[in-house]
Amino acid sequence: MVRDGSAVTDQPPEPPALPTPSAPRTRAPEPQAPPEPREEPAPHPTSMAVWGVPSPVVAGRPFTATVGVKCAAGCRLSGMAVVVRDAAGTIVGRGRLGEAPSPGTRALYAAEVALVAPEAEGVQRRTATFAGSASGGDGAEAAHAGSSSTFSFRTAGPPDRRVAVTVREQEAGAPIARAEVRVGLYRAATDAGGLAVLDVPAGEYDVWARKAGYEPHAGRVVVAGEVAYRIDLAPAADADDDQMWM
Amino acid sequence: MARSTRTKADISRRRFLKQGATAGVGATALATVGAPSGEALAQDFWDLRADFVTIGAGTAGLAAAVSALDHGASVLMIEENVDIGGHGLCSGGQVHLGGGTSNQRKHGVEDTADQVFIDWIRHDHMQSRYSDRDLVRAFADENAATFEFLIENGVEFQDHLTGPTQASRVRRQQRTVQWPVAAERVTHHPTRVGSGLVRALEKSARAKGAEVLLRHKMTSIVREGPSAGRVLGITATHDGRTVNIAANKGVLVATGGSTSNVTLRRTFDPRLTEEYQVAGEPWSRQSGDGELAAMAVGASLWGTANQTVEEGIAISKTRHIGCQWGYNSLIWQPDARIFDLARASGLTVADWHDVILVNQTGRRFWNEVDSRYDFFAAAMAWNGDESKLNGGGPIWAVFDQDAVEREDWDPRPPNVDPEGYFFTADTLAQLAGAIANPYQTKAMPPAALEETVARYNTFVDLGVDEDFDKPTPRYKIERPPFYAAWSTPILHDSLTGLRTNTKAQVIDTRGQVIPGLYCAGESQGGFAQHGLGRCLVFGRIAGRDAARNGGVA
Repeated sequence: MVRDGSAVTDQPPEPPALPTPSAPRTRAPEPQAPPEPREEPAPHPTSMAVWGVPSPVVAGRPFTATVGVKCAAGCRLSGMAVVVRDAAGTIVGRGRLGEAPSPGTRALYAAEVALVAPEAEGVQRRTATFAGSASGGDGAEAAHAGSSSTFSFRTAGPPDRRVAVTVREQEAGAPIARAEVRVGLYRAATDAGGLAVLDVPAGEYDVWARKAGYEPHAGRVVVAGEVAYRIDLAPAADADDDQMWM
Repeated sequence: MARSTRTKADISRRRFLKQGATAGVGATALATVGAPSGEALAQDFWDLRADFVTIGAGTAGLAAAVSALDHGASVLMIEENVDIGGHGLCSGGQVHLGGGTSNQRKHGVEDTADQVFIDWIRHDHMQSRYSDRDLVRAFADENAATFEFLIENGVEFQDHLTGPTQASRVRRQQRTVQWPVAAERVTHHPTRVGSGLVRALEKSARAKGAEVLLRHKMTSIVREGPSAGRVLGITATHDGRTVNIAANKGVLVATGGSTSNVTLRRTFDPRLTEEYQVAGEPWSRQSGDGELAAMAVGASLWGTANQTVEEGIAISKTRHIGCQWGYNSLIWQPDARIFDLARASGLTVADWHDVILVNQTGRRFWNEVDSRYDFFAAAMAWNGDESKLNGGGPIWAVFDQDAVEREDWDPRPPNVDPEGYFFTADTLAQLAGAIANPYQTKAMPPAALEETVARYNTFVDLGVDEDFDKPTPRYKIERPPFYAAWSTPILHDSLTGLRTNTKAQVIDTRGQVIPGLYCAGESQGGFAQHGLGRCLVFGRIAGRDAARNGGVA
C-alpha cells in the first residue's frame, strides 16, 4: 500500500531523551551561540506532465512529445532543461522549457521534445526528467527540486492500409460531423460529410464511433486492402427513462 | 380554515385521563425524554388539536391528509421545511400504480390487483423477494383505487404508460404533468415533474380544510406510557418555540425515510458513513426523525433486508460530477429555488470512459463504466485509512483537458463547486495536493495519483485494462490542466422503516398495534418498491383508517 508521499522525505522525530533517574538534574553548560545560519530556503517542489504523445506511432519513426514542468510556487521556468530517458536510463531526447505557460495552465512551462520510436512493436515506456536548478546567480531566483514523469506509447507497423468510415444518422441518413471514430487504437473525427479516413496497418480491428446524442456504435472490421465502413447511429435513449427517480 | 382547533383549554384534564383509561394505561408518564409529565399535560399542554396530524407534508402525508379529510376528519400537517412537498416535489413524478387503472385501460393494458400482488411477491426479483406479503396484498388491493383518487383530486398525468419496471410484469408507470406555476416548483428542469403530484394534492387538501404548518419540526411523539397506551399527539418546535399538537384520531409518521441520517442508515448498512450524500438534498432531508420518534415510543423496524437487496437505486452513481449532490436524474440548475444551497450543478458525464475514478488514496478501485452494486461495493471498500475502517471515503473523477473538450464541459462555477468538490491543477501531482474536502480524511499522495494515471495510460496503449477490466480503455489522461471532481456514490431510497399492519398502523416491538400511530411513505418498512406508488397507497390507507377508526387497534 502506498502511504502519503509527503511523509517519505520527513525524518522520523528523535525520541525524547530519558532523564537518568539517579543523576541529579544539573544545569547544562550554556552552549556557545552558534553562528547565524545562512538563509537557505528549501527548493521549490516541481512536478511534471507529458502530453501530445501520438499512440500508436510507427516503429522506427520520429515523433514529438510535450514535456511540461510546474513549480509549486508558480515560478517562471523558461529556458530550463528537460530530458527524456528510455527504460535503460539512456537519454533519448532533450528540450528547453518555453517562454510562456502552456495554454490553459497557470504556470506550466513546456518543451517539445523530439523522439524516435524504437523498431520493436509494443508498448514503450519513457521517463521525462527535470533535474532541478540551483538558486539563480543573482540570488533572486529560488532553487527548484527535480521531478519526473513516466509516459507510454505504442509502436506499430506502418499504416499502409486505408479505412474510410462514414457516419450517418440512422433515421434520416444525414451525415454526422465531428463524430469520433476509432479503428483499433487509431482515431479520427468525421468531417462535414460524415467521413473519417484512417490509415492503419493490415489487420482485424474493433470499430467504434461516438457522437453526443447518439447511441455509440461498436463493430469489427478486417483490413486487408482499402475498406469502406458505414455506421448508422441511432438517437440516444433518454437516460432518465431508464433510471427515473420516482 | 381548518377544523383543527387552536386553543390550549381545549382538552381538559379529565378528558385526557379518560382517554388514558380507555387505553388501559394511566397517563402518568410520557415516553420521550424532555416531554412533560402526564400531570403537566392536564390543563394547557396542547397548543393545537386536530383529528389527524401528519408529521411531514410530502407525498405520503398529502395523500393521507386528503384521504382523512374525505372521511370527515380534521387534518393538521406539520412540515419542517419551508414548503410542502418533500422529495416528491423534486422527483420525476413517476407514479407506479396499476391493478386495472383507467390509464391502463386507456392504453390497452390488462391488469388486476391479483397481478400486482403476484408481481410484488416474486421470489425471482430482488425488489420483491423480501416483501412482507401482507402489506403487498393491501397495496395491490388499493392500487387502482389510489390512482383514481389522484385523478379525483386534480393530479394530471402525461398521456402515456411505461414499463414494465421493477418487479412489475405489466406497464404500470406514468408520469405527472409538471405544475404550471413556476414559483411553486423547487426546480424547473423538464424531467422534475413531481411538482404536479404534490401541488395538486396540496391544493385539494387545503380546499378540503387541511391546515399546514411549515417550518414546524416534530420533536417527539407523545404516548400515554413509555411503550404502552395510545399516541396522543406530538411535540414540535417552530422558531425556537414549542408547539404541542394533539391528535384525536391519529398521528401519521410521513417523514420521508432515513437515508440522510448517518447513524440510522448504518443500522442497515454499516458501510454508509458520512461521506455519502443523498438524492433530494439539500431541498429535503430523509432525516429519520419519524422512525426515531416512533421507536422511542416502542415502534419496531421491519423488512430491513429490503434496504440491501442490491437492486434498484438505493445507491447510485453520481452522474453530475464536481458538485456535492449530483444524483443521476436530479440536476440543480442555477434557476432552482435552492441553488444558493446546492452551489453547483455538476458536469454531466456522458461517457465514463472520459474519466478515471480514484479513491482518496489516488488509486482506481473498479471499472469506471460499471454502475451496478459491485461498483458501489468497490467504492465503499476500505481504502487503507487505519483511522476510518468503514466507508470508502470520497471518490474523485480525474480527467484532463481533452476530456473536457470531448464532453463539451465548462468546468467553472456554477457548473462546479471549487469549495471542496472540484479542483484543477497544471499537473497531476499538484491536483492530488489540491484536494481538500471535509470527507477526505487523508491527503491524496501525489505520487500515487501520478502512478495510477501512468498505469492507466499504458492500458490505453494496450487496449486492455489489466486491473479492472474496463472494456477497451480509450483515452489517456495527459493534457493539462487536470481536474478532480467529486464523484462519490450518492444514496437514495429508504427501503425499510417502521413496521405497520395493512392499515398502516405502526406495530411495536412486541407485535402489538400502537393505537393512534400510523406510518406511510419511505419511513414505512415492508417492501422494496422504489418511488411514489407505495407512499401514495399507504398514505391514503392511513388517512382513511384514522378518520374511520380513530387509530384503534
